[in-house]
Amino acid sequence: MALWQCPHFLFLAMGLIIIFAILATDAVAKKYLDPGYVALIVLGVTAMLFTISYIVVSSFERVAKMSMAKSEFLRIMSHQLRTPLSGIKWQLELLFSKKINPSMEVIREALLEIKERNEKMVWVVNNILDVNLIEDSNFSITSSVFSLKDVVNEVVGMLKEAAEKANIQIFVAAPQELPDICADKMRVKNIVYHLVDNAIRYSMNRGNVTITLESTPGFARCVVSDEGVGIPKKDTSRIFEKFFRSKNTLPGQTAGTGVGLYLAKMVIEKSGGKIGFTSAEGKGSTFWFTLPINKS
Amino acid sequence: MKKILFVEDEIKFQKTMVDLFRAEGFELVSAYDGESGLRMITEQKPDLVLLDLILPKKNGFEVLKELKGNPQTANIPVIVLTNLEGTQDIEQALSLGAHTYLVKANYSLEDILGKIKEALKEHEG
Repeated sequence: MALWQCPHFLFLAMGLIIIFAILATDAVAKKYLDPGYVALIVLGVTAMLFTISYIVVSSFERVAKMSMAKSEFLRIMSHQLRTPLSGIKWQLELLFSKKINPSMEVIREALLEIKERNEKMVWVVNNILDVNLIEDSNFSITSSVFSLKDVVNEVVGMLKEAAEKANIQIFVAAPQELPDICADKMRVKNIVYHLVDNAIRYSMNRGNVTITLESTPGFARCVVSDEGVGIPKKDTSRIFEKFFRSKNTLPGQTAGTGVGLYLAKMVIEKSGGKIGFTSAEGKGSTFWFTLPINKS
Repeated sequence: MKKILFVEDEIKFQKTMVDLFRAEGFELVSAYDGESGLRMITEQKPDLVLLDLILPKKNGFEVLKELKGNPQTANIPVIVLTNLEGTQDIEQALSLGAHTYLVKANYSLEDILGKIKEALKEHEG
């Protein structure tokens, strides 16, 4: 946080300004006895004070907004972590329960659920840690050569069930030959997951999600389009902000974490690529990113 | 047989509960979103509602408000079963008329069953 956003500094600055204004008014009132003149000077000082207070108040507002976004983030994150945790806890309880004599099939299913829930937890924790690493400027990426097409197909497989539940079909359009890219594979997979997951969730149970892969000189490009609610104009400038979530989602829905796009932008830019979007409210959104192809 | 309506969008949680409740001699009916939950409450008049807060179509708070606002269903005890634990969430749910507020991760299935039996008993007595 910058100095001028720090509440303690703002408080001190505000106090100093007020003291200065009182002293200045006092000095002026002693020196000039013409009431018209004094009134003019007091008016000038008041106008100055007013402007400064406005700046101070809007800085406070910014701080409050950031802290609100952060506490909303914590509320959602603890929910996101607790859901797999309670799933694991209950399944284990059932497995050890004396009331139910589970068959091999039931045991297998329970273990599978525990495995999936565990993976989900690792994913959520990794996202939180990544945000923290970026905050501490300690963020590094591990590049390797891999196929973006494979990653996209893997993610589509992971989200197939969620898409079906929401009556949404996912289409992938990719050329036969797409050059391999050089980037952080785990994190790119995470980005594709976030983009497709967002596309599904903001589709509001209708329309298709289309993922298009193409190569441009030096880069591979991935485009994720949906036919969902789109992004309200007032939110477009904040979409890559940390903890920011547009309010136009399903009521009460908190599946999103508010850090996906923020992390995506950080990782893509650090890998030498670009990320952006176009959106029309009520018609849908298209997010795209590019990553450098492997030259060797 | 006591009928319990479980309003919860996660199929996995629904499945976990079904087996357990049957073993305990309850009838469990499932609703996967707030809207169908409300409809089933008015149509089926369950003895108790187990309600998640984060739900598609209508969230748990809205369901609770409408259920308690309808004289035909206002009497049905509601146990909120969620993973949200904000002070505001808890206060809001209780002030809307929830009987108990349970955080999923903090309660075992045994504990939840105990709370359900307690609420049913209280409601009868």
